[in-house]
Amino acid sequence: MTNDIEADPPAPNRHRQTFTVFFCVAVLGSFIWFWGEQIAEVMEMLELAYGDGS
Amino acid sequence: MDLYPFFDWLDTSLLADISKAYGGVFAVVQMFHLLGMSLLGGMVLMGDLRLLNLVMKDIPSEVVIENTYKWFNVGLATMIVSGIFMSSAVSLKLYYNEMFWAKMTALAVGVAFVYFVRKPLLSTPHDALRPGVVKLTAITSIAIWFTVAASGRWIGFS
Repeated sequence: MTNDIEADPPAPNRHRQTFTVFFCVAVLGSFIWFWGEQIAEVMEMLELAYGDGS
Repeated sequence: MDLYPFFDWLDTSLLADISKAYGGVFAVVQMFHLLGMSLLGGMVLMGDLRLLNLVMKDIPSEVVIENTYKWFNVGLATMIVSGIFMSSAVSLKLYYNEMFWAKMTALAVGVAFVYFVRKPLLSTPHDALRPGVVKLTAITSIAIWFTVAASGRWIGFS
């Protein structure tokens, strides 16, 4: 008889992976916000310097 | 916690005297800073691109990751030591620079990520980890060190 049910990873490993996912999502979310702000600031300065192109 | 007293002390320290008076010494230290950065960046890319299965596919990822740690540590130590020296030349200016604090925050997050998240996670056989988690770790690692480098470069223009 074959056992085709995949065993769950051991608990410390599973907890570590869950923590890693939370950490990564928090960091990537913060970076998207941070770089978004910086790019918006640069766009604003370019607009002030050169107008909106119209 | 206000770090102004530290930056004020650094501005009048012996390090600041040397970095302000001897341009040649500053240039050599800056060269080591860039060398450390390229070493660290190289190790990060080598390890993370392997985790993303893009390079060195014939070498087990555990082997690649294990071999990058030592040189990553050398690069990080070189960057921190040379960075303190370089910042002593303009410490008060840096204290008021928003991008400098962005870089320091990203650096602190990067160090915490490497030693408390990435290293413990990857110390287990990678086959036992979910592929999505491994790839997310690699992407986050690249994003963190990209932010450290880019915000550091941005200091000069802000």
